[in-house]
Amino acid sequence: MIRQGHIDQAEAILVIWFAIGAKAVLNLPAAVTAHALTAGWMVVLGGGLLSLAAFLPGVLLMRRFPGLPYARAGDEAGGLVPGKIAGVVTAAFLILLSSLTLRQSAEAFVTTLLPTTPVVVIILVFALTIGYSAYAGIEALGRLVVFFVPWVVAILGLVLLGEVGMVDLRHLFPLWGRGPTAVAADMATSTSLYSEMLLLPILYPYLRRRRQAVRVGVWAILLSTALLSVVQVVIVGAFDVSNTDRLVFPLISLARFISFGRLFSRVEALVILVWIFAAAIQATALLWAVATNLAECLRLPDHRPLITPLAAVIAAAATVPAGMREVAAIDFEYVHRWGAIVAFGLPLALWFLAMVRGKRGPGASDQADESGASAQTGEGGAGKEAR
Amino acid sequence: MKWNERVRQLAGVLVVGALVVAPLSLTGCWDLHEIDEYVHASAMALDKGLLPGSIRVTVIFEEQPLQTGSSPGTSPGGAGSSSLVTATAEGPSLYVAAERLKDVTNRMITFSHVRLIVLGEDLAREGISRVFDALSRSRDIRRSVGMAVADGVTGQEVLETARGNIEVSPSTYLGGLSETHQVVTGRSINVKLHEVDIAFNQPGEEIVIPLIGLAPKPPAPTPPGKATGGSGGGSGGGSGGGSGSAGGQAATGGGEAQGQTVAATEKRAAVNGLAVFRSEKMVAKLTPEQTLAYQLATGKANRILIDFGGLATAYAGMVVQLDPVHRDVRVTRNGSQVDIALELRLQATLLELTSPVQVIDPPNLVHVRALLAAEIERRVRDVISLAKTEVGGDFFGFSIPARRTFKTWADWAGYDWHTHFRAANVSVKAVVTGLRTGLIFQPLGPSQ
Amino acid sequence: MLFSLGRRRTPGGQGVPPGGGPEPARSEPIPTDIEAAFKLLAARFHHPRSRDITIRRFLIGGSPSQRAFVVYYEGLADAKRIEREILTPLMRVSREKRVAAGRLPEHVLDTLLPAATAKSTRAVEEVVGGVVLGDAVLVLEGGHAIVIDVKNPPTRQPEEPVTERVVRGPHMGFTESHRINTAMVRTFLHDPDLVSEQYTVGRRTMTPVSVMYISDIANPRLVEEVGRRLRSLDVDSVLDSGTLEKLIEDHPVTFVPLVLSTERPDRTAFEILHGAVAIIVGSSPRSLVVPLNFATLLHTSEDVYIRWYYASFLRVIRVSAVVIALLLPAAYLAILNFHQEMIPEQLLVVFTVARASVPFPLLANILLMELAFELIREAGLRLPSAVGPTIGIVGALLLGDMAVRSGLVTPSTVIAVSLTALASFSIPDPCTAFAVRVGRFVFIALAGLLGFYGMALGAFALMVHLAGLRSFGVPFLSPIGPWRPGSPDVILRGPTWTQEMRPIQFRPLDLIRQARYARAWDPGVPGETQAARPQSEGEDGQGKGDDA
Repeated sequence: MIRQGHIDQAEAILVIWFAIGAKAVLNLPAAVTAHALTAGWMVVLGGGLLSLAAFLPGVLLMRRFPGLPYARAGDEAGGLVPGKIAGVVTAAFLILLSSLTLRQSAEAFVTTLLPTTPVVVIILVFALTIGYSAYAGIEALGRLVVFFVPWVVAILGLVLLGEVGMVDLRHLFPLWGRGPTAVAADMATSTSLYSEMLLLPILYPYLRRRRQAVRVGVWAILLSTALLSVVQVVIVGAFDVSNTDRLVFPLISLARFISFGRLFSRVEALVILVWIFAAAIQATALLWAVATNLAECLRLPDHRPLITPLAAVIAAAATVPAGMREVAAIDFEYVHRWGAIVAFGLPLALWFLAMVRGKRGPGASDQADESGASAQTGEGGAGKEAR
Repeated sequence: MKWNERVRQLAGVLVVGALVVAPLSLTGCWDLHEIDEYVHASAMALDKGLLPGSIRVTVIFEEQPLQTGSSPGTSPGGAGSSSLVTATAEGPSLYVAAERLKDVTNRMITFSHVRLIVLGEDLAREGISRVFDALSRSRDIRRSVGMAVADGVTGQEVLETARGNIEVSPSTYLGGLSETHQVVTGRSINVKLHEVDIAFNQPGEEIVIPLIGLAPKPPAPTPPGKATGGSGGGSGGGSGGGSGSAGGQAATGGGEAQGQTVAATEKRAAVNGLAVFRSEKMVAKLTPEQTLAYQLATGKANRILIDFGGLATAYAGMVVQLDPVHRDVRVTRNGSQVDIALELRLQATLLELTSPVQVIDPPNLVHVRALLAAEIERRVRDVISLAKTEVGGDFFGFSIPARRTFKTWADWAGYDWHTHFRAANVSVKAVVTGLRTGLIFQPLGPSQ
Repeated sequence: MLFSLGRRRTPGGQGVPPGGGPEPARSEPIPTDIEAAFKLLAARFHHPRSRDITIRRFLIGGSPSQRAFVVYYEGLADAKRIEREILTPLMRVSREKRVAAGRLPEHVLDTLLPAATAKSTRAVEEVVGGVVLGDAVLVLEGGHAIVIDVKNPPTRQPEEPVTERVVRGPHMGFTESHRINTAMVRTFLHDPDLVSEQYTVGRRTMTPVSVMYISDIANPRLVEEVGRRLRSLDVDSVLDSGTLEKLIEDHPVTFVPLVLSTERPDRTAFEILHGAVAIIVGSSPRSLVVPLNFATLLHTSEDVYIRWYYASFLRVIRVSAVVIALLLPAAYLAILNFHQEMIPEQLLVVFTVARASVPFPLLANILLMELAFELIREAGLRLPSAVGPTIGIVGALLLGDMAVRSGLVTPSTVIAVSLTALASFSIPDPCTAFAVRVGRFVFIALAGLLGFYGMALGAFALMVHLAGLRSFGVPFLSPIGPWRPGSPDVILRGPTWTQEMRPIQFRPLDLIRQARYARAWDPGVPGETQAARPQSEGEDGQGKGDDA
C-alpha cells in the first residue's frame, strides 16, 4: 500500500460530506426539481436513506482484505482481469465525476465573479490548485477540511437561514410531485446522488481507526442527506417549482438576496469566496481518490506522479461540454441517475465475488477491523494518549 | 542534500508558475475594469419606444464632475455637488437598447446598483414578457430590485422626478418609494422582481406591481431676499444633467424636458396604488383604498385607518386604526366548485373620538366592532369582486393554499385555477378585537 | 537544472566529499610535559600573536617541580576571580600542604580551588572549548587540566524585551549571556525536574546550546529528536538563534516560522510547562521553543496574566490583524476592479471621482503605497531611536498626504494601505509579521489577475501548505486540524481555572496540569474538596481566624 499518512474519523466524514454536499451549490437542486417537482426533497431524502444500506458492501469488502487498498482488494476478490477492469472503471467514473463537478463549479464562478473570463482559464487555474492540494496528501486534506468547515457551515447557515423569510413552505405542494410511484422510483435512482461514497472504500486503508468505517459512512450520508434535503426545501420554498428548474445555480441565486442593511448588500461574492474552498476540497478529494486508486491498480509505488496528468485529463474533460446545459444534462441524466451502479454496485459485486470464491485476506474479519493506524502516533513522538 | 533538491524543485515550480501567470497578466484580465470605466445606473425605466415594436430604456445615474485646476489645499474630485444624469436609448429589445446607451454615456453601463425598474403604462398594457426574460436572465440586475408601473405617465418621467428631489441619492429616493410607502403609509406594497418572476411563471398566480405617478411638489420655503423658481436647486446640489437619446440628440440640460409644460423635475413621484396584470398584460388599477383591501386579503397589510366621519351615526367622529393580527385562508374543492374562506383578525385602536358616545361601554363596544368588521368585509369583498369581474383572475395568491388540495403536480397544472376562481364562493369574515383607547378613556369635552 | 546552489567548501578551499559529515572530534591528550603542553596550547591559540589570550605561568606553592599555567581570554574571563580563586590559593600553598605530583590534580580540585564550577580533563579539545567560552583552564604537570568557570563576558542587565512588551507581567527579557538566560528561565520554574542539557554547535563558534525541558512532562522522543538534530549539525558557525532555527526546523523552504522565537523568559517557561522544549543559543537574546502550532504565533505572554475575556478579545483582534494585513489590499483591489457591485451606492461616486483623477491603475497605486510604507518602515529601523519614530510618522503622513494632493494615488488607497500597515504591526510574532508582509504581495498579484477567485485559490493553496507542515512531528494546524480536545487556549482563551490539560498534540508524559477544581477554596466546589477548607468555621461559614 502506498504510504500516505492517515485521517481521523471526523475528518473522513467531513471530506466525504464536502464531496457530496458541494453539489448543493451547483445545478443539482434545479435538476432534481425539474425531474421530481415538489417532491424533490423526498427524492433526495429517500435516496440518502437507501444509500445507508448501499454503501455497506464496500466496507465489508475492505474488511475482507485488511491492509489492502480498494484496487487490490478488487483484484483479490474478483481475480486479476475483473479486478483490473473494476479499477479502471472506478478511475474513469471518478474522472467523470470530477470533470463534471469542475465544469459546473467553473461555470458558477464565471457567472458570479468573472463573467467575461473564459471558462477555460478558470478551469485551468482551479486544476492547478487542486493538483497542488492533492499532492499534499490525504492527511493534509483531512486537517484542512476541519479548518474550513466552520466557515462553510456559517455561510450555508447564512444563506439558508438568512433568507428564511422568503421561504413559503406551501410551495412544496402538491406533495407528491409526479405521483407516489414516480417518487419511489426516483428515490431508488437518486442513490446515485451519493456516488461520492465511493471515496469511503478508497479512504478505508488510510483511516486511523478502520473499525469506525461504518460510522464514517453513516454520518457522511446523514449529513449529506440533511444538507441536500434542506437545500431542496429552501430553494423550492423560496423560488417555487416553475422558477427553480429555470435557475442554473439556485443556491447562488438565493445568496444574491443576502444583504446586511443598505451598506452591505450584493455580497454574494463573499459567499462564493468561501464556497470556492468547499469546491476545492471536493475536487481535491476526488482527484486524490483517482490518483491513489489508479496508482494501486497499476501497482505504482507512489500516486503523486499521476496527479499532474490526471488533473490535466480532468481539466480537459471539463472543457468538452459546450455549455452548462450539456453539463447539466450529462450530470443528471446519466451520472446522477446511473452512477450508483459503479459507486455501490461495483463494490457489491466484488464483495459478492469474494464471498462466492471464498477469498479473504490474512487476518480478515467481517467484524470491526482492529488494525489501522491507531498504533501510529505521528505527533511529536510516543506517549500515552490520555483521552 | 534532500532539501537542496527540494529548493531546486521549488524554484522550478516558481518558474513554471511565472510562465503560466505571465500570459494572464499580459493578455489582460478579462474582468478587470477600473471603476471610472463604468456608469452605475441607480434606476431604470422601460417604455414603449417611439418606433413600432421598440423599447425605450432610460437610466439615471449620479455623477460628480471633476474639479479642474485644483488649487493647493484641495484634492481632486473633492467636495462638490453631484449631478444626476438621465440617458435614454431605443432599440428593438431591451438589451439592444441598453447597448445603445453606451453611445450616449460613452462608457460601459452596469445595472448592479439599480434599485427600481419602472415600466411605462403603455408597455405594461401591451405586455411585459418581451422585457421580462432579459430582466430575469440578467446577471447584473438583482432579483431584489423593486418594480413599479408608471401611472399615466412614462417611466422616464418618473425617473426625472429624482432630479428635482435630491435630498437623498437617487437610488435611495427611487428605490425607497414603494418601500417607504409600505412602511410609512401602509397604502402600498413593495414588489420585487423576484416576486414578479414567481407570479409570472407559476400557474394560478398573477402579477401586481405598485403604481407610481406624479404629484405636484410642495413649494420649497423661500429664504428672505431670494427669488423662487429654478429647477434642480435643492440643498446638497443637483444641477441638472443632460439626457440623450438613441438618435444622438444633444442634451437639453437644465432640467427642461422636451414636450412638457411642467417639467417632471418640478413634480414628485407618488405611489398611487397597484397595477394588476393578467397573463403579463396590465388590465386594471387598484386605488389606494383598494390596495389596502388587497393587502388585507393577502396578509401584507401593516395597518388600516378607518375614518367614520360622514356617517350619520353616533360614531361619526371616530377614527380607528386596525392592525392585522391573523389571516387564514382555507380552500376546499367539491368537484368543480371551489370554496374560499378568508378569515381576518384585526386589533382595533381608537385614535380620535370627537363625539360624546362612550365607545368603551360594552353595548357600544360590540357595535363598534361589528361596524368595523363589516367595513373590512365590504372592502375586501369589493376588491375580490373586482378581481373576478374586471381582472378575471386571482391575484391574491389563493392558489397557493389551493395547491394542498391536489395530489400531484400534473393535477394542479392541468387545473385552470383562474376560471374556477371566477366561479368560486369566496366568504370573507373579519373579526375585530379589542379597542385600545390610547392614554385616556373619555373623549375630550365638557364633563358629564 | 536551472541553477545550482554550489558546493560546500571547507576553509581550506576544498569541496566536501559526497556524504561528508562532521569532522571526527579531536580527542588528543594534553602532553604530560608542562612545556610541551604550553607550546601546544600557545600554538593553538596563536599566542603571542593573538594579544587577548593570556597564558600565565606560575609555580604551585613556589615549588619548581610543580609548574603550572593558566590560560584564558582577557575580557571573557574574570581576571580578578582568576587572581583571587586560582593564582592566590595555588601560589601560596604551604610546603606542608604540598602533595605528590600524581595526586596534585585531585588535591587542587578538592582542596585548593574555591571556584564554584571546576572540572578536570585531559583532552586538548576540552581545554580549547573551555577557554573560548570564557573559562580559565589550569594546566598542571602530567597532562592534567582543570577547567574553571570564571566567565565574565560583556553583557547587559536584563531589560524590557524590545518586541514583546506587555502592560501586565514581568518586564524582563533575555540578554546576551547564556548562563543568565538559563538562570532566568529557572527563576520562573523552580522545578528540580527542569533539565538543561548542553550541546555545542558550530565548528568555529562552538556556540553553547542549552536544551531545557521538564523531564517528567516533555515527551522523551521530542527531546531525543531535538538532540539528534543538534548533534547532526555540521556548520562553521551559529551566531544567533535565528541561524540555528533555520538549521533545525522541519520545512526550511516555507515562509512560516515553525519554531517559536521569544525574548521573554516567562513565556519560555510557560511553553516548557506545556511540554515543549526550549533551546537557549549562545549569546542570543532570544530562545527557541519547539514544537510550534499556528495558534501560538498569535499568543502573547500577557494573555496569561490578564482576564480571560480581555485576552480573548485581544486574540480576536490579532487574528483580524493577520487577515487584514494579508488580505485587505487584495480585497480592496478585487472589489474596486472586479466586483464593483459590492460597493455601496454612497461610495460609488466618491471612488469613481477619485479614481478618474489619478493616472495610474489601481494595482500600481497599491504597489506604490505599499513600497512607500515598506521604505518608511525600514528607514525608521535604521535611524537612531530618538529620530526614527518621528521620521516614520512624519514621513508616512507627508507621503500619504502629498501623494493624494498631487494626484498620484487615491485617498482610499492610502487608507487601505495604512490600515494594512497598522494591522501588520499588531501581529505579535515578528517572523509571522514578515511572512504576512511578503504574502500580501502575492495576494495582491492574485487579486489583480482574477479578483476574489484568485484570492480564494491563493488562500486555499496557502492553507494546503500550512496543513502539510509539521514542527518536530506535530502538525502545524493542530489542535484544530487535526482536531484534538484540550484546554480552551487556542484562539480564544478560557478562564485560568479551566486550563486543566497540556496541549495533547505535544504528547506530554503528564497531560493534566491542574486539578479539575483548581480553586479548591471556592465554596461552590463539590464536597470532596471541602477538606481543603480551614477546620474552624463560624456560623456564618467564615473562619474565626487563622490558627495555622
